[in-house]
Amino acid sequence: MQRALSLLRGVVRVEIICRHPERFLNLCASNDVELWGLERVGDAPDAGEIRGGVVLRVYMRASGFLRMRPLSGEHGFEIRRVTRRGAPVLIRKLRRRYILIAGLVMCVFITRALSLFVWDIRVLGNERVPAARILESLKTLGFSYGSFGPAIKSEQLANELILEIPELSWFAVNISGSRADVLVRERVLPPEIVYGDTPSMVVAKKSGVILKLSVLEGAALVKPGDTVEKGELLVTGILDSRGSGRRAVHALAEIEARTWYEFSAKMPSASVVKRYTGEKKRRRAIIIAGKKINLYFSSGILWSSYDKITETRRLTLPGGGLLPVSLVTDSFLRYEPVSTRQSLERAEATLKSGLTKRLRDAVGDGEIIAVVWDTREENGAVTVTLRAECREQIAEARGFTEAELPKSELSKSEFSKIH
Amino acid sequence: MSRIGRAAERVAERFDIPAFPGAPRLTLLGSRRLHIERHRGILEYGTDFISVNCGRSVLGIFGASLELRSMSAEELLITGDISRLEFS
Repeated sequence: MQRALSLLRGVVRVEIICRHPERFLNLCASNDVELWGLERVGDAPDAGEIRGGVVLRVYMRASGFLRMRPLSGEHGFEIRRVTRRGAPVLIRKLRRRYILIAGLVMCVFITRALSLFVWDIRVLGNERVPAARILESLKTLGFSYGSFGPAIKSEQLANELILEIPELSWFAVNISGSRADVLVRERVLPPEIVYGDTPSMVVAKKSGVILKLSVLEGAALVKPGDTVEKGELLVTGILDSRGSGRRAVHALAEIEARTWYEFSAKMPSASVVKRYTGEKKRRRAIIIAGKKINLYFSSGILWSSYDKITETRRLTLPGGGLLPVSLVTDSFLRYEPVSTRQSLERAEATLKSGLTKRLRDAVGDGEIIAVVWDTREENGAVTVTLRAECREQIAEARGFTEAELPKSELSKSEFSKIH
Repeated sequence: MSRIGRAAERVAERFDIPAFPGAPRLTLLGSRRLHIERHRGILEYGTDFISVNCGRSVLGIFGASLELRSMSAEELLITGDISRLEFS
């Protein structure tokens, strides 16, 4: 710290020729001149004024040198400056370089002026609402990259944004320098309410043969072993009893059934693959505060077939700070479509994998009992057919139709309230 | 030394106080670095012998490649191969 301060005030390396070094050192101490880095160079040359003396080199502050120089004649030593360093030397060097000084002043001014604008926006606190949607809405409200920071009215922006995006419940903008942190809180939507007492029926969501039936509420219309069609009524929600007459209930049942599926997929035996020719073209562009500036003149690509790969790289400062500048590189890779005949096994494997996934999606939590595959190759195409037997839940609740409702129990207005 | 000074020295010795008023403080780091506070000036300066005025006594520093690294009105820093310190 002491040395840094000395550099700021200017440091000189001086050469002293004297007969008695200790006297010079004591003179410095008594004049409050601090010394460091003392080095004995050797004996003084005989041709000089001081014969039989020694040559010393030492660092001292520029002010110390100016204090010691007038004492040289009186105390019998010679002192001369060898080098000088520090801020005063630098300022003296730069004093006549007007353009450089003007550049420095301009640089400081521009940096200060640019720091008043928003160059980086971070959206924090969002989980369901994408950041791109929030940024797009903010843009329509006049807040985006390049906005003037002091002119941003956070509260007004918050009110307008919440109207724009109803999923948000709270919003705030914190601006520090040229970075804006957009803090949001998402609205917690109330869960969907399922009314357990709403009259409903249970129907079959798939065709099949019923294996097991457990009715929790309502009256069963089918029994194990029955074959049912998709949409067929399985459990009714209308109960008729001697005591309470006809009444509507929320029918509830677990119905397991054997179901069958048949899926087919087709694929041409010959397929087109890309063969890259090795030719490559690059187009570069810079995005400054959301504005794209192309660094090329002709954007036309004359090739008929090519892949385009876009790579966007945000420029950063050495400390990790983001700059409002992104470098976009579009790479175009030329290829020629080549028709190749693929093996039957490979085509079959591809199709089987797709059909298996389709079957799993269709069955859901159900169990696949047996699968039969059929592969045929005809007219230049491979066709794979899947036939599967499964075991799954087929019960599905549905509301009452107006005709099904017991008229004595519910009026028309009540029906419309339910639905 | 004045009577008051001698009395203060006796009190410091009696109570085992490490500081003596006006006395130099010497800090020797191994045999390579000697830091002296409250010196009164250098009497002799050479590469194998440096003599420092410590007020009531003179400190002789013997060694080889002795070098004065820094000096101010209050402090001295001497480095080199220090072999012996002698008060006279």
